[in-house]
Amino acid sequence: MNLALINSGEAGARRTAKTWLITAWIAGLFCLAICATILYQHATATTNDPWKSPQLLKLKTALAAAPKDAQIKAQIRDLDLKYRQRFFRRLALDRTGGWLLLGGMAVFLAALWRAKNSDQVLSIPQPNLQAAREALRVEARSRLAVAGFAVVCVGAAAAFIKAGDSKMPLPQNPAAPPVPAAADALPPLAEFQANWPRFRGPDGSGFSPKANPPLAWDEGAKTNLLWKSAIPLPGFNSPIVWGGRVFLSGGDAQKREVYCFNAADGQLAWRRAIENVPGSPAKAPEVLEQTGVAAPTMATDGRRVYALFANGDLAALGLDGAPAWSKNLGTPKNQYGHATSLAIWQGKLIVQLDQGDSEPANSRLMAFDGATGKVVWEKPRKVPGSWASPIVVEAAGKAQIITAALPSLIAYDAVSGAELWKADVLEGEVAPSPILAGGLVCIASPSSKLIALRPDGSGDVTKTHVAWSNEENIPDVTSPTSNGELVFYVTSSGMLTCLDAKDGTKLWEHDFGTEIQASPGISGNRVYIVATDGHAWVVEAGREFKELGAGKLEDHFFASPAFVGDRLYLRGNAALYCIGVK
Amino acid sequence: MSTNPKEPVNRRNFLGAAARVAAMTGVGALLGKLAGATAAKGTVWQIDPAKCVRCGKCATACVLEQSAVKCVHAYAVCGYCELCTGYFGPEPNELTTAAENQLCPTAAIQRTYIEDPYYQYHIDEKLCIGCAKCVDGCNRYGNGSLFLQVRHDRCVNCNECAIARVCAGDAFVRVPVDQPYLLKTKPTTS
Repeated sequence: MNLALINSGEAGARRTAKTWLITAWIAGLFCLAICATILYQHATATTNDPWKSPQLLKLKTALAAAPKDAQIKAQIRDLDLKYRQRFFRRLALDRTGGWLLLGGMAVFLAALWRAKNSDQVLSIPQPNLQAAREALRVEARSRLAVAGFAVVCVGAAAAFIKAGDSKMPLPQNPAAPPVPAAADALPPLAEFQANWPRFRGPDGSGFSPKANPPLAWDEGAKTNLLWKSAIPLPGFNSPIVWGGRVFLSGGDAQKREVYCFNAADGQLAWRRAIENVPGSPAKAPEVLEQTGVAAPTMATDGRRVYALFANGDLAALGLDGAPAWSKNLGTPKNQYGHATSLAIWQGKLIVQLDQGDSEPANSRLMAFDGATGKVVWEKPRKVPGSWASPIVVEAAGKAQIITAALPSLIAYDAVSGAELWKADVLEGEVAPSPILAGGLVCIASPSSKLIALRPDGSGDVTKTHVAWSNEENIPDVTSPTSNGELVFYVTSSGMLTCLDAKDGTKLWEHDFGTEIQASPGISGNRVYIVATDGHAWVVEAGREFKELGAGKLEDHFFASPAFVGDRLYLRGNAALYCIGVK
Repeated sequence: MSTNPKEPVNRRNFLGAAARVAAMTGVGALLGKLAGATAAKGTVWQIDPAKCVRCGKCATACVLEQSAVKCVHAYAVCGYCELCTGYFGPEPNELTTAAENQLCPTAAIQRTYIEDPYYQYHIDEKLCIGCAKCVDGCNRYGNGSLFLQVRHDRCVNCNECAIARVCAGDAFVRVPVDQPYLLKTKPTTS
């Protein structure tokens, strides 16, 4: 080996290393300068940002005191421009500075690496006597490393597969409704019948065959009044009951709320404001005081409770009050305010949204999936506004949704929403709701006649399926009630009438002589009638009139009674009452 | 060692090749399964306008120097007012575009004359910093047509959004990536 050549090579390598070292220094200083500039800009930003500058705010305050002062205006404009330019310059510097810093760091590291390696002189290779043994050792380690890596990969794959689902919660809004849980399996039919899940009980007829509330009560004498609880906000909806809880809604022009009372002691278990409903109008609709914003009675499927308000807000809450979903259906155009109650069928929430005055306008019947709030089906209705509530009955081998609105009683298939039959038998402002009585659908055409129809037709059944009708003492607001054998109904002036459900023959009538706005209900073999002024009567559900008892509460009543077990729940204007034997 | 490129296909070679293909298919399937299982569920952050309380933290809490949150204008809801309370500060000196009258600290709202007495307002997103001053003015006194949204052409979709952590109205929600915006629409009146 030529020694001069080796020396010359070493000198060249040292020169190259020095050049790279100088380059690294320059790049490092460049990076530091960039960092310092960015940090300085950030440090001074807090006071100079256009929207935080105390100087600018001070000038604006001064201008408010002297609105004509042109000098202050000019100062504001200059300062505003200066700050905005500085702010956006800083943003631009951040962007370009970031790239420059990245480039500078790359040059710095590359130069440092080259400087480190350039002054190394290659050594003359010498034979390695241990090479074969080292090779064997390396091979063994390599196999071990590959095996270890494989184990780690398999473990990581298993962990990823197990924990692949994101735990990030999805929002509670219509864009991404919550996934129904396994607990959404619906309760058995017997549980529905043992509770009071909707307006006027399980089938909407106001009849509970097994309930056994007392025959008499008196608030003044403290007889059989188990508890009384104040209701925070007004509403004309009736109580619904499920699993030891009583649910009501209430509201005014500002707020809409749902209440849950413990059936055991009447304590308010929770109250939930229905707010931030997507699409909800900012201004409450104008409704009559006699209707209010919370006239529709709630419904429950035993998993959630549902409430509808006059502004079109529809909300689903868990039985513990946790919001499940909510949406706005658009404020119903209704001259008195929306009052139609909700119905429930096999996990579907049925909403009848009739609206418009003389001409039909956007009336529709909708079925929502109770768990998610998704529309299952929606059918337009060529009817104007109505106030009657739909019922769901099993008739002619089908689940039928029976609706009432001028001029027709219309039945829909509960599964598909297809119209099954209709009968043009209604007149006036339709407020009484239909019921099923002895296999016939009974409906009161307000102040005109009570009609019973066979629900097994198709198409227009006006002339073919009317079983009977009766024109005596017909109510204009309240709905009839029936135990399957007899039909009872009461007028607003207090006339109670009993008909034979089979042929509509009048059996008897009795005048209570006082205003009655709440629909009557039947518990076992007793009919309960609650007057507006708090008086109530219990009469035998028989073919002859027989008064069994009476009650008195110090409140005003418009809502219909709810019968569950040995208790009667009544909603007054001010409070919720639980009648039972102590 | 030499290899014959035209080695005839025999049972051993065929079985070997088949085993290799099966192994590669298995590895591919495993990788596909892993990719599917570990992929994100396809959600992004968004502001629910109904919950936003216009606190101004969107402008300062975002990890980006200029926030990914921008003001969005729902033209269908806008009243096109001459005295726009989202454009002008409280009790403006004059109804002009001069700096002392504008509410926006970065002059990100452009005001265009349409016809007397209507003006159109447009947000320049390059200038908007998401401070919500205009949103507050519009919602407090106007129709509420201005509102904040996370713009997904800028958002880096942090797993734990820095703004969501400090949002005063708890208005940050995850929405499906195919419906990434919660837009205001004209209220239904029928």
